[in-house]
Amino acid sequence: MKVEERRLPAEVYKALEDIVGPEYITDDPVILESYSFVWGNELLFGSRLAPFRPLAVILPGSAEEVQAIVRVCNRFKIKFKAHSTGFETTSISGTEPFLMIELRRLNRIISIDEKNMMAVVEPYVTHAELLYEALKRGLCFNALGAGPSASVVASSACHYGAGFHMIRSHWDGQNLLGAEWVLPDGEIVRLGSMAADAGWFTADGPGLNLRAVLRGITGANGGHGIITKVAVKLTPWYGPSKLKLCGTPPLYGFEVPENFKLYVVAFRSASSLVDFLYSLQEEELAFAAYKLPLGAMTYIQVTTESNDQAWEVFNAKKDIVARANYSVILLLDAISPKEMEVKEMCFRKLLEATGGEILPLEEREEKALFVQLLTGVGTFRESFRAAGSFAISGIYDTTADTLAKMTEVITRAVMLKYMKEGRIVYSEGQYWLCPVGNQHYHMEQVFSYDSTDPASIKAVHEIIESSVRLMIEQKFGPHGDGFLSFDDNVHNIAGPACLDYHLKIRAIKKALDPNLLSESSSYVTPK
Amino acid sequence: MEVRGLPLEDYKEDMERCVRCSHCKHVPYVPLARVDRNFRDVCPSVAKFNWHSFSGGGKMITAYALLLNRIDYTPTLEKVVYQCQMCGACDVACKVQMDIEPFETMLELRARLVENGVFPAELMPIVDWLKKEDNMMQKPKAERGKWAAGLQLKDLSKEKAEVAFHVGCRFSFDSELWQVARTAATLLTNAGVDVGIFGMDETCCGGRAYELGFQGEFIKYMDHNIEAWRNAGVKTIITPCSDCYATFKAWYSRYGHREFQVLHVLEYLERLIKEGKIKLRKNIPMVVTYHDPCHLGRLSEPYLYSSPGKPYITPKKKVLGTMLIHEPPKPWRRGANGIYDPPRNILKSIPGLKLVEMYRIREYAWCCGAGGGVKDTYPDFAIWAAKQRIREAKAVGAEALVTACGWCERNFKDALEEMDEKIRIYDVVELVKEAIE
Repeated sequence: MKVEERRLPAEVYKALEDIVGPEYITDDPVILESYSFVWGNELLFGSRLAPFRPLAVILPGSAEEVQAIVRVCNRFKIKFKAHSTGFETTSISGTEPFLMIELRRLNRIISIDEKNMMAVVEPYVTHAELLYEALKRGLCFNALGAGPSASVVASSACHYGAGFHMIRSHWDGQNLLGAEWVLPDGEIVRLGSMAADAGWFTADGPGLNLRAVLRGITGANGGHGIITKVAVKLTPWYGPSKLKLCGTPPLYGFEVPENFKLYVVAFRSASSLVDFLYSLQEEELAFAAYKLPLGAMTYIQVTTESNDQAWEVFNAKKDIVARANYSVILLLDAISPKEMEVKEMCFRKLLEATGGEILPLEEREEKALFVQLLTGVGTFRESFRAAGSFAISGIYDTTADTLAKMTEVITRAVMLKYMKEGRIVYSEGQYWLCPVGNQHYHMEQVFSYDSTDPASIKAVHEIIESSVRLMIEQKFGPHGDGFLSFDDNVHNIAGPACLDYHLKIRAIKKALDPNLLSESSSYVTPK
Repeated sequence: MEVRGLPLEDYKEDMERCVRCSHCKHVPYVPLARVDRNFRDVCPSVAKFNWHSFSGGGKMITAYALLLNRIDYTPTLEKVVYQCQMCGACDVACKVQMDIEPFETMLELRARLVENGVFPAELMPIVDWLKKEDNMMQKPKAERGKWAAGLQLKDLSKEKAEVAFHVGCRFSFDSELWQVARTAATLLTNAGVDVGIFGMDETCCGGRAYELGFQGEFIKYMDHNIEAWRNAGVKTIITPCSDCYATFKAWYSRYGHREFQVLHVLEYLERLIKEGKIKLRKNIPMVVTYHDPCHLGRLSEPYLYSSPGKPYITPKKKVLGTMLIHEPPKPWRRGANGIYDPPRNILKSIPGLKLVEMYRIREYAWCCGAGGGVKDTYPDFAIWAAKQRIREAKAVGAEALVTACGWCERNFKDALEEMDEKIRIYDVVELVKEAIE
């Protein structure tokens, strides 16, 4: 496999080395290879290994070092991009070689303010780490769809940020209270109240509020500078400060605390499911709730040790699988037995009104699902262990009934063709639908593809483009981006129908990044 | 019979299924809930050297790049592959979510490097010595049985016995540790166990050679040991060495050899204590913590799906479109079935002794630093890892760090000499001896 060989000029390398020291910069091809590989690269390059390597990888140890690196990049006109744990194409890939800035040395939880329910963290702090520190203090943080290893900074300031208990915790973009932002030209900006030296309790001032510019809905995926700290909102946690660990690998679990109840409920149709979720949201009963994207197969995958075991359970539970295509997982919490009694009574009335059926769960399943809801551990079993690779035909946020309708339209007009051709794996009703606070709903229509089959990869591109076009034609907008913004194509399709947003973000990009050096192929290109 | 492991190419699908999630770097994300953030790392290699290549996932990518001829056999490749204790912690963390084999891939990656003559120069004299003198310690074979002087144990070269007591290279030649081997052998004989040793004729188990990538040497010692045990009428192998234990239990079984019962001496001692054949009466008022040796814990799970001469990966097929399953179902090795409780149970049965747990324990324990040839090739790195562990032991209030492996004990003792810390290092067997006296 041919690899494009490009390296930093010696003068640039030396300037960067002077900032971090020789231990923390390398342009050795063997090391660079591991920064050229990521899930989803096959959609860009036909292989998980990109056809080029980064120019070098550098590991700064402070925001000041990040700033100095960015200034060197501007001086020598070197493209750069930062990442934290490095999961997902958008975090680590680009369309041409650039300086890779790995932020793993910025790994501090700076503070957790219990009174004001917020935390300030650096980029290499993962969701699981912040969650566990928050739980000790009676607080909680969103569990991300990308899993517990994902960076809090990445999800709150740079990427989408959807998670499993958004009905309580909201999505990470909404939880962003402030940020320390190294702009593409090297200037450091502190957003919100911190800009006025007032601590980091709000992004709405006094001081600059650039949250919409910083991240918008989908995040800039590293396309306009580097975030070196964020302040994020935490939510109340009514469970114990120390969860009781149980199980053995791979199925570690937590004992479900006494003041929590977990259910999986199945509905006969999408509309019944949507009615139930609306009611659940209105009544503010749940700590977590969402439509299982693959129906019963989701929880079979999440609660089994291997694909072998999942296949065995799938065959043993075919009756449940058949009636659980439209099913919801939910977790109720309460601060007292009386409150739980009331919540359960309400939940059962809602269920009765919408024709839902509680599915039986084994103890093993209940513990594993509790872990999944709280932390996101388990997501990889359904998405990667089972499928190898998955993609999303569209990510949308609006009302639940609209989202359900959109998936039906996309299924009929787009997905069925590819399903029949065997180029993707998808079944009707296969989408994740999650209430977000008491405001709106988040939906991701997921499907599996074969990462080693060019026809399957081509299908992914066609599905995303067709879905976006369809949603625009049918006036479903406003944001119909595929979850991987491979290029400007999606923006160019959606922009004209959505107040020419694509022109505005291009203008922002140019204003923030006069030398166009902050690698932005996963955001927008400044054409 | 298969003469070596599976070719690296057979793990290509596993490499392609890595998603670069970085789970392999940290304590698995559920038990992480009980871990102090200062001790969240589980992979010494990436914790020390930082670059992703040094992680389990990074090595999967490196192997993939090598297969695709994107990289050459360079000194950096050698460092990425050999600055690693092969402790298997990445494998446990990865396989919480994925059906892939990072550790096995890393074994075959080392074998591929050896095939191409790329390995640390420090290994050459060690392997040469192994070939000549049958041990990894660069000591004369003639000195091998010295540890047992005066013990009156059966000589399995001449006599038959139910149990072979295999002490391994470290306990045979590290005289500071002889007490452990001598005590263990004495406890077994005192309890009436029909036990014998090969003494000077004992050879290396081959495990370290296997983990270094010298699979031919491993096969040679495996074949020799099995033949010797058969000739001596042995049914059970007992060893105080965790490296040897994993070799007999796991690596030999990977080649289809499961005919002998393999026990670590602590498993046997626990049994004797439960049966009342060993009584621990002496009070030892001390707060101790137990370090799980990788080879006694997560690496010691046997392979249950191999047989001599047959491939040891069950066939795969796709169901539901993209889901890979095995037929028959594959019994995965994920670290859960290592030896974790016997040492703890023994320690808990010592009067006055208080056992406190470190943050990283059992299948997600931090390595002592000595494994995978690192003690010989990158001694500073080995000491660095040991220091991290000693700091963890101190952080939970331990006065002593107790282990069950000569390699761990040696490395901790060496690290402690460079530290300004007061903590004692023991093998569990030493505390048993103290509690009996």
